Amino acid sequence: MALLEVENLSTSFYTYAGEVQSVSGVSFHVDEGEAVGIVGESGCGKSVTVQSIMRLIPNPPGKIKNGQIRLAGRDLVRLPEKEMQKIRGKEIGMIFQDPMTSLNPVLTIGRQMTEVLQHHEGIGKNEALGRAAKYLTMVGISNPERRLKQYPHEFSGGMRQRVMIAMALLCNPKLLIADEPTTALDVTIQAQILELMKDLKDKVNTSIILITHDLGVVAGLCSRIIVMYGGKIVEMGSTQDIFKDPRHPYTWGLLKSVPRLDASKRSKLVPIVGSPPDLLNPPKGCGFAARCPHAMKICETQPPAYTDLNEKHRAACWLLHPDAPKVTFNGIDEKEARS
Amino acid sequence: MVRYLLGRILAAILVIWLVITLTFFLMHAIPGGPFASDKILLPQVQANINARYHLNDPLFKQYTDYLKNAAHFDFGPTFRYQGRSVNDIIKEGLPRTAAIGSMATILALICGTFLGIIAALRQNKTADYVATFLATIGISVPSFVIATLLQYYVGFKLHLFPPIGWGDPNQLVMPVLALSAYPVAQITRLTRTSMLDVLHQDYIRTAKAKGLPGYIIVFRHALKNAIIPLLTFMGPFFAYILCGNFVIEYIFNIPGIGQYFVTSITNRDYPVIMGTTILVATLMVTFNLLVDIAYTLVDPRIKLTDQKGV
Amino acid sequence: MSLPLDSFTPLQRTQKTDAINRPSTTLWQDARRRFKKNPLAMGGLIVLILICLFGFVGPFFSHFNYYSNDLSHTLNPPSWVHPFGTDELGRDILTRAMYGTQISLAIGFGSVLINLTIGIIYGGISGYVGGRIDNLMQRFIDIIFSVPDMLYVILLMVLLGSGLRNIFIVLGIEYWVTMARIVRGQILTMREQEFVLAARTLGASTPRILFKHLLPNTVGQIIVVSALQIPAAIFMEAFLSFIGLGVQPPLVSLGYMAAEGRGNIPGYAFALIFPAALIAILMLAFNFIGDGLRDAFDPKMRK
Repeated sequence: MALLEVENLSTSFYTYAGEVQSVSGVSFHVDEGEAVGIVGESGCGKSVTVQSIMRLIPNPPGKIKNGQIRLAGRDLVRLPEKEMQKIRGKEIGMIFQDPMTSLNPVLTIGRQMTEVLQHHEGIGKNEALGRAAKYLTMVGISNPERRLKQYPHEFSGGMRQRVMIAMALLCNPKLLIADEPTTALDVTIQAQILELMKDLKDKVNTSIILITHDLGVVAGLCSRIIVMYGGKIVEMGSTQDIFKDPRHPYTWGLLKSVPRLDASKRSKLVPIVGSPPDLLNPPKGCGFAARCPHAMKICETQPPAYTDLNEKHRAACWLLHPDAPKVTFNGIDEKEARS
Repeated sequence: MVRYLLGRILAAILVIWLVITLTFFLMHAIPGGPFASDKILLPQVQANINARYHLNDPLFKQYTDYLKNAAHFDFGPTFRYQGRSVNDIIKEGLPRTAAIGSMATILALICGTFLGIIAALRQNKTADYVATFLATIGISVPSFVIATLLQYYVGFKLHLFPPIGWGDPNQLVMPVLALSAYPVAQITRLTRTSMLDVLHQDYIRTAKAKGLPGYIIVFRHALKNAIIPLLTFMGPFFAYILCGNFVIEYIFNIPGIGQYFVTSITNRDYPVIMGTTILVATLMVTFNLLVDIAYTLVDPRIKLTDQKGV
Repeated sequence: MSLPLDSFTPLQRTQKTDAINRPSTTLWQDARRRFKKNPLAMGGLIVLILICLFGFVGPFFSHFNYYSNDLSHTLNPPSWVHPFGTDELGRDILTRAMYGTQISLAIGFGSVLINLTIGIIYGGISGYVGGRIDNLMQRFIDIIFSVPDMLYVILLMVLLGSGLRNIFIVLGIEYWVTMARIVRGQILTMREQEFVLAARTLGASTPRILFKHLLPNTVGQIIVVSALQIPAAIFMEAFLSFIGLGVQPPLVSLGYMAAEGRGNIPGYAFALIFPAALIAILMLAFNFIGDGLRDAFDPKMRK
């Protein structure tokens, strides 16, 4: 059953230069207990999407223009702020990109953790401290009683991210949103945090939305992947589909730019040429047309509709039109290697 | 901690010694000397005066004597107030100055942070514009103008408060208002900037994501962080209050340190000028030390060790 | 849905795909544009220009001068001949205010120019050389900082004697401490940044790095602080005039006029209010310009 349904979500920022359509017409859902990955390069709208879900878009300049976000049937977009506060931290937990700046430097870890519990569940300080200690142990922090009395600067980056995870899980939220939880960390720490999240996913049975620009990160954790580009979803499907049978040229590009150990020596890492579209003046047709090696005339004039490939797998690309020339993922590799 | 404090106190004593030395030689470098502006005195009278004030001793002996006495908080006799020492004047004036100064400081801190927070929370809305406007007026009009206008219109014309003098609590109102106008304005501006900066920090977003209500976010999460940069300016504020008092006391005719100081400048009463300068410098150094200690109370990242910072 | 026949023919790439979408702007263009967009700052600039015109061009249109007494017309209320009345010696307040504005502006700009020079050199050396010398130079600054600036301005004025030249000297050596601290702080943070490291790896010499890389990056901050120090200097001069250590008659500054006008306030408030209002407007203008500059140079505002 769908826990979260996002339907036709559009979020814009109104800057002095004009309206920046950071997210336009995004629809997806997350099932109960499911982990979904959202991938895409910087500025593709993935963070704005989840911040819209949390209603954390700074307003002004940002605004949710359109659409519905239903959590267990309730539309969050139209919820009064007071009600929304009861959702944040309690029903949806969130982890941010930079653990170094995401914790308040002048409050102890204990204070920052217990306030969530005291506020949402109204339990006493000691009980809250006990629960916080339990969760710190769960995320692999030893000596939790002592740690609770310490301040964020006494923790390393990886440890702080563990604290953030514990804090987000304190009220047993139905949904955990992780906005690039590993990007700011060292590679070895990244692996540890991912391992921890995988571990927790089995333990605490929450749904997870994991945002990242790194396909490798989602592969191990998520069962479904959403690929975003220029504020739109260009392809989504099961992890299997996205890796084995990707259909959108942007997904191809993403896959080709990830180093793989099992690849043959001759295959190269291929960057995606060019830069993302200017969302201040979004292109009329497909957002990726300007960078797409297979762009056709129609790509510049009309946005492609979604083509359903199977029950879970869909992509928005004109190449999937029955009249379009057949181009497949592997065929391209050779051609580009030659040129 | 103890080592740090001892070090700081030693440094403070060093600073005060330097201030004493500098003021002493500055004052003695002034051509003419204390009685030059008077009518030409009889040589006999001049000699008596010189002997009375040890003006004939070699400069260095005068200096060491002064230093010795200053170490015992004895700043010597005044030139102009017959039979009174600088100490008498300080003893008489300091409590008055301290009363006005501390009240103005408290008023400035309360009003300033309050207005600043309101302005930051209502950024670009009416409340923000009103607070910013008031603050801008406060930093644009010299305090002696504010004091004069208050004194004339509120005191003489409207008879709301006594326009001059000392003794009645009512007489405190206008001096305190006039003295705190500038600090209120500055603190408002600083709090606003600092608050706005803090409100855009990641940890505030975290607090929001935890579902905390607005007042907890403002008072628990934002305010404490916003105060830290404000502390840096507490030293200059204190200095302003101390020196702003010179003008305010003079205008409202309050016999505090400030009035004696301004009068002494006109009279060239050097012992009083020196004594007051040393007193003010000592107060400043002490205050700065307190501010540094306050840092450690507010910001856990700062420990009182030999080097400041993380 | 029917599509045109040639819909699926591949595109011929004509334009470069990795062209940058938005024109790049330099820090200066960016700052200038943001400054122009700030109505308060622009208003402040216009008012400042008007006040400069008032002070420097105004006297040519006036029938009076700032020093001639006219004892038959003392303390006149505003009239057509004397739009802001006369003072207790019968001098035209409007004309005196023009000259006062000149002097006050000169004091503001002049003293900031002096402390700019001292501050940049001191802070630059301290921040760049670092180590023991930096430490020593910082202790010296700490000492100066722990004495209220008003106090040592007064002491120095008592020592040097009042007068315009001494005001320049004393105010000029007053504020450099702040400037030196800022320059040093900026240089310390810049030093650690990659582009300086890169310049050093490429073999750039120390003075070259200092002037080509570090100073331009601190210029924004320096301009902002200067813009806010000018009104502070004007304010300080007003304060000095009040306690009798400012400019000496017959010279006149706005602060001096206000202090002088205080004596006549019962009944002749204009003698105080007019120069005080001019000071306030000047302060406002400078503060708005300073704030506008700060916002314009703040890289966090860059978009």
